[in-house]
This record gives sequence, structure tokens and C-alpha cells, in this order.
Amino acid sequence: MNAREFNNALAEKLDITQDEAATLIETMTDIFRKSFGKEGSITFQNFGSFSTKKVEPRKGYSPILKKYVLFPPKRVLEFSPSEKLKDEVKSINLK
Amino acid sequence: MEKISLQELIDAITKATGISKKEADDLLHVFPEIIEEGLKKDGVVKVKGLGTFKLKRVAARAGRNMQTGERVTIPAHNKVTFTPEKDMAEHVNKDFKYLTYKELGEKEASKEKPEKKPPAPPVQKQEAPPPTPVKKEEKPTPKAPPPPPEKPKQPAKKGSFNPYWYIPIVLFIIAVLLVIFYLRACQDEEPPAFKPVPSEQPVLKQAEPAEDTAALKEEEVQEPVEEVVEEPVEEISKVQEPFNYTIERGEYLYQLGGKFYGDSLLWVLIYRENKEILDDPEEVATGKTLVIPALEGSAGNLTRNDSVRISDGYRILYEYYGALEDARTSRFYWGMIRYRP
Repeated sequence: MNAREFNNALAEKLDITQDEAATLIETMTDIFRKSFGKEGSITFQNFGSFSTKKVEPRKGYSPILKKYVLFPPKRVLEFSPSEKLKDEVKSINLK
Repeated sequence: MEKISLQELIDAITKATGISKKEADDLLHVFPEIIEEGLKKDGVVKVKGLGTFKLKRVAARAGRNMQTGERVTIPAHNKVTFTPEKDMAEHVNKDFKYLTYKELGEKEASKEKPEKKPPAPPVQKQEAPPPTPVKKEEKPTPKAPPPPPEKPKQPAKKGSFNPYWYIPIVLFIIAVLLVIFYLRACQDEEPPAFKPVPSEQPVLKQAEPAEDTAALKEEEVQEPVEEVVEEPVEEISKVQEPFNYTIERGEYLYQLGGKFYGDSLLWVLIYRENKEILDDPEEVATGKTLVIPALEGSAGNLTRNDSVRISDGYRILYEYYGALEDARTSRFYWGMIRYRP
């Protein structure tokens, strides 16, 4: 399912036009972005939660530089699926 | 980390778009549903502005039942992965945007635990000069040689990474080396005096200088000098009773660690004991009086209690530097792990 298909599916479900769906998605992701920027986390019942996590500085080998370097700390966005979603998805046949 | 409730999201969405609360509520309920359906249908869902959800196949593998310890096979299954879009990832990481990697020396990287060592030898070197060079060459003969060949070289190389602390020390070493070298040159170069003596050492030493120039010979001379000095220090090292000590000009905590305990890595003990007096572990003001805590064992043979205190000292420093987001944080983490009883 690509971005357009997602958009159309949303439009269909909410019974709105595709353009309206596009603006809705835009504002919604914008609000998500602001929340994650402030280290917030968002949980959807029976789906999963989005949260940010700080990754500590670590030593490692940089294949680009071919050297051992200390990588700086960073903050990443994580999604952890709920148990229900995990279970439901487990035994699907992927192409 | 602050949890954002759906209610807050609904409010924000109604404010931004002008749709009713009911509609916003629907949107937020439909959104995960569609992703779930898409995952089940195609195994991949892209959401503009957020990222990509994907199903990934995990092959079957052997595992254990955590409760019974019995061997089980975890069957092949799918799991959900999420990759944020570039824009989103950058926005989340905006605080650390300008940090870049820092290069490590080969030895530091391969050993994974190094960085606190360099301070150790310099301290001892400063105590070195009083005895005359001639004596030093004689002494190494009977005493145990094996450890030193590595020690003196490492600091020499690592020292150059962190100019702040080491410049004066390196200059000092060079001065000492020059004096010794000069004296030896005067006495007619007769290395047999110490060459045959230690068993493995000379082989290592000769291999390197043979290829290089006089500069490396200096190193060769330096090594025997330190052997002598290290031994007495270890004997002095036990501090049975805590006592007060006033810092002299130019003394750092890690030097005190070497002076009193025989291992500068143990300086954290002193810091831990005096952390109310010392705010910044690196800048110890001359003239402050510190309590030097007792060490029950010795540097080579720590008791459990010692280990606990040292590990705790490293933990304090780990938190201190961690709060500053200092790149050196990882060293203290290393110390915390190493001394953990």
C-alpha cells in the first residue's frame, strides 16, 4: 500500500474527498511531528505506540571511513506494535 | 517522556483543520485500522509525512522457554517494522543534529577500555628524576621486566590525542629523555649493560628501533627508567587509614590516585569522597584539603568493598559527564563495568 492508496482508503472510510483526506493526513502527521519533537509518545489502542528514544554515544567501526570512531548520541523515533497486532500479523503469507 | 493522549491529539486536529471533534476522533481510529489492513494485504504501508510500516519475515530459530529452561523452536513468523521518513527522523533528532563522530586511535578502539590509562605513567615519571640515570640502568637487571614494555609506549602515543593534559607531561618526558640520552652518549654507548638482562623485553624493543631513527632510541632508553619507578610505588600504595591531604600546585586527582594507591584509575575514590568540595573533577584548585579514603586491599588486589566504591565513583562521574553530553561519558561507563564486583 503506497501513500496514494493509503490516502484513498482514508477518504473512502471517512466518506470525504481525496483532497480533503490529503490535507487531513498532512495536518495529522504535522501534529505527530510536533509531539515527537517534544519527546512525546503516542499510543493507539490495539495498534501500537510511537515513542522517541535516546541512543547513547557508542564506539564502532565506520565502514565509510574505515576507522574506529565514537558515534554521537542521537534521538530516534520507534514504533512498537501492540501484542494484538503482533499476533495478527504473525502468520500472514508474504509474497 | 511525556505521554500524549488521544484527547489532546483530537483537540489539536480540530484546532488546526476546523473539523468537528467527532470527525477527528474517527480519523484517529480509522488511521491505525487502515495501516493494519494494508499490512495484512500488501505487507507494506507508506504514510506520507510519517514513514513506512513493513512486515518482515523472521526465520525459525532455537530458543528456550524462560520459565522452564526447556529448549523450544520459535517458529518462523512476521514482525512489524517501522522506518520514519527522513523529514520526521531529522525533526526528532534536531537536538543532536550538529554532533559528528569522533575518531579514536587504533589501540583505543581495539581494546575498548583504554582511555583512563594514560594518566598513570606520567605521574610516576615525575617522581622518576631524582635518582641518577646511571643507577636506573643497573636496577632493572634483577627486577621483573615483563609488564613495562607495553605500558610506556601506550601513553606516549595516546598522550598526543588529548593535548590539554599531556603537553606539559610530554615536554617533561622529552627533557628527561634528552638528559639521559646525552649522559649515555657521554659514557660511550654500551648497551650490553641491560640488553641481555630481561628475557623477552629486548626482542620487542630492538625490533622497532632497528628500523627507525634516533628518535626511537630515546624511547628505548626511557623504558628501563620506568621499570624502576613503578615497583616502589606499588609497595607504597596501600592507604590503611583515611587522612587529609592538601593539594599542591599542579596536582590533579588522577595523579593522587597513582600517588596513594599505585593506580591512577582509582582516583575516582578520592573524587567520590570529596564530591561536595569538588564541582568539576578536572579542575582541582590548589590548596584545597581533601580526604583521602582508605583502600582495604591494594591496587592489584581489591576487596569487594573497594570495588563497590570504585564502581560507584565511576557511576557518579558517568552521570556527571552524561548530563553534560560529554563524549568522554563512555570511559566512565567502562570503569563502572570494569570495577563492578
